[in-house]
Amino acid sequence: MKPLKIAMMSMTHGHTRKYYQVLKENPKLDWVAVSTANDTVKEIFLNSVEGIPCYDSEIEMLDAHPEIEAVVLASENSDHLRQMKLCAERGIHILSMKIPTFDMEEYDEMIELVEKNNLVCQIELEMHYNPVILRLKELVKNNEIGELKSFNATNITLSPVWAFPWQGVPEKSYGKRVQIKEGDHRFRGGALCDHPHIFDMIRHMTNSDFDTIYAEVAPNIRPDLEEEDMLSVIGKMKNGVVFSLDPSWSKMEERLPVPGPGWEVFPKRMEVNITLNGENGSVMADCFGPNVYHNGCPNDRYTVQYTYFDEWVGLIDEFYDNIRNNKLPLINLKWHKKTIEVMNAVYESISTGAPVKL
Amino acid sequence: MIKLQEKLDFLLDKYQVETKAVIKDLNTVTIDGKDISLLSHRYQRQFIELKNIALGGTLVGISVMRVARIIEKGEDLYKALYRELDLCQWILNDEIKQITVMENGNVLNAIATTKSDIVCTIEVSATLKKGERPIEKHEIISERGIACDVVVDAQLKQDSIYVYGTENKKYTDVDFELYGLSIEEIAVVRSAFALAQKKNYDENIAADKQLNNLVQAAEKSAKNCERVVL
Repeated sequence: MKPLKIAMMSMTHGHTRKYYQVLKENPKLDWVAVSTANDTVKEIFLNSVEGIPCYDSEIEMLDAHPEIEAVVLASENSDHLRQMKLCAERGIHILSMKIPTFDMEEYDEMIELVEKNNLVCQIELEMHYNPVILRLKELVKNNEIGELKSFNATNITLSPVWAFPWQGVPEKSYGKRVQIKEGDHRFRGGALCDHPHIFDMIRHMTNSDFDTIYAEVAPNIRPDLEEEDMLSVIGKMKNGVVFSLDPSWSKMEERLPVPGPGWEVFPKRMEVNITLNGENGSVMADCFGPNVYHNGCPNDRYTVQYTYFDEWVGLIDEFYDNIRNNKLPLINLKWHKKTIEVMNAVYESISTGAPVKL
Repeated sequence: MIKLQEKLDFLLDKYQVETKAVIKDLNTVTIDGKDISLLSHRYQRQFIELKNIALGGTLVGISVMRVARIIEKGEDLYKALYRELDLCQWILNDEIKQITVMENGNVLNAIATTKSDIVCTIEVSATLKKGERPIEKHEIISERGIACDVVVDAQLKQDSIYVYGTENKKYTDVDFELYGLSIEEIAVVRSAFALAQKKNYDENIAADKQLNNLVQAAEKSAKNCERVVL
């Protein structure tokens, strides 16, 4: 089959750089162009990738390259609907970042756009292409620990706001400025908005949906942020499985403008650990381990050097297959809607101080 | 229990403590005819050091304490919760003001908030085969630093010695005077000895009463998935 003509927009999202290698190396793709949202990300892109035309305007790029078949929307959450409209009116397939929008009216508009124009819109939840997750799914399917009783997971990272400033702006991350709870100086849009993966994964692994959710926001470990950086979530699925989810920015970072060596203060940048407890045992998984370790440059600080970050290989293969063979993505807008709804319910629980029944 | 009593008697004799102390079970010592809750986990070295780190100025601006404990199948979840609630309060030198619990048979998850607004998450499950040592992790996250009893980038605690021979074995010995006992057994003997030596029974009696109230609140929360404010 012919290579997919693909482009990227904005280049402001933290995952932008994850696409550089796979878009260049995957023979199923022909990386046509990028458009950048500002001079800062344009400079970063031009310093990172050679030979790909770079435009200052999305429309200029799309007009110059009518052959573009698909676009990666590597943009801030507040730009997604506008960019989806741009793509839809040209019949261009969409790879959306992990949060299409938190506004459920906007969300329904996105679904309508995609269906009306017969587009593939795949949501970037890359954990599904992680080999540890593949093994976990297999263990669950094989009933290794008997009936599943609880799903406890971390999706914790350093805070990306210094390198990707829009994530620190409630209007751009959450879509609007909403006080996190009465009497609190913080607003929605922080760590929770960065970490949908475990809210999605539990639905796959339990084959169930959320029933009750309760959340607490803790004092920020970065008091100068105007969004939440530490929160804890517990609850129950409709099939009775209970869960504990930690989507915090609990790993401290150096405030670098561009991610690179020395970004981490805590030795790890991120962690996705999942513990499944069943009737007859437990499974404990570190989705990004084991690793190698050093205390070299630039800070002589003991540091975890990750050994696997290849989730985007499988993700792009699926995207290509969905477009060429007219398939519905595993993580499509309709499936993902319930994940976004439960993340909104987390904020509601924090705001009201009470569990939310879904 | 006889082995533990012998070790306790050894300490009482060595340090010339005349109080008559009898280890009744792993949670209780009888002193002068009165049963006193041991709260023996407070004598495990990992928790003493976590407390020192949390309160001694090493951590600044504590935000969250995260706890996970997996115990033998069939063991009482709420007894495990009692222990973890005590550890949170004791290590943080703080008092829990509200708790929410979700339970499902042999597992429970809880979020508790302290008077200083520190959020404690506690995950307990009873899934292990008989004879397996409990698996646990205690982590405190603050503005300045993280303290944890599991090494970075690992899921399990290390042991001091690993033997790979005809039979694979591992050992963790943490007390020279009480050599041969497990970490948990050592804590039982040390806590009983400390009570006999210091005679500070009131602190344990008050803590036990407050913890039983907390556990009752947790059970109430689990019944209807509601937050209970104390």
